[in-house]
Amino acid sequence: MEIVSKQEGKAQVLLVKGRMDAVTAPEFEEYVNSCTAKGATAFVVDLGGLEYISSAGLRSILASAKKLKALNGKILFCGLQGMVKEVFDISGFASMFSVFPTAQDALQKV
Amino acid sequence: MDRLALPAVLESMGAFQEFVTGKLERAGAAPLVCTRVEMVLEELLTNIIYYAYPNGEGEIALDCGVKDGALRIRITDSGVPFNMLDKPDPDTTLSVDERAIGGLGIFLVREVMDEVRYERKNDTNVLHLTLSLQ
Repeated sequence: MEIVSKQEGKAQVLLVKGRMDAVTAPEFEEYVNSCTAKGATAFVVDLGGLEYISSAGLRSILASAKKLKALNGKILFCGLQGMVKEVFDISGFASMFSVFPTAQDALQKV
Repeated sequence: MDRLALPAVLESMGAFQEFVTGKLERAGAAPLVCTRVEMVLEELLTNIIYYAYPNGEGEIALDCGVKDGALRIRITDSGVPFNMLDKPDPDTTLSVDERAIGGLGIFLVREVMDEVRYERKNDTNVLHLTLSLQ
């Protein structure tokens, strides 16, 4: 898994690529933690380059979202496709979170 | 069915997944189907790796074959008796605050596969999985 981060206005856009599995998933939570430690509270997570996610990935995302909620922060998602979209739909994450087609769409709602 | 037996450690995961997706690809399954099955294997095998052998090392045997348009998988371990399927489905309508962390893996497995069945047999835990490819 690879995470590329860029600042867009007040939001931190995270481009997540590759595989979020039992081994790599904790890296997502750690990355979000490192951003919040520097003061970031608004995140747009672009999963367009993510090819694979398991429940370990969902766990890492939910743990991050709970922490952000406690900080009055925000986490929005975009770019879901393929099996990642399926897993978001089945698990209810697609309705629990705000999901947008593109990062541009999400940034308008931050 | 062909068999692959490896130590019950996370490092074995990739080999188990490739063993099964190789068969799926040769059977002409779509890449999306292969990725779903990879996820199913991760969910089940991590459970075995984390919980089956609390007192030491053990092995996982995976039998797999494609026959009559269906993928059949059998996963066997000789660890402590443990039916990982025996738990309630999570409530997928709850909010971020209400939702517990975890508990989604087996739910995903049930949603993706056509049949998932546990059996305790000859001091082993056996999971039987079926997925129609048609």
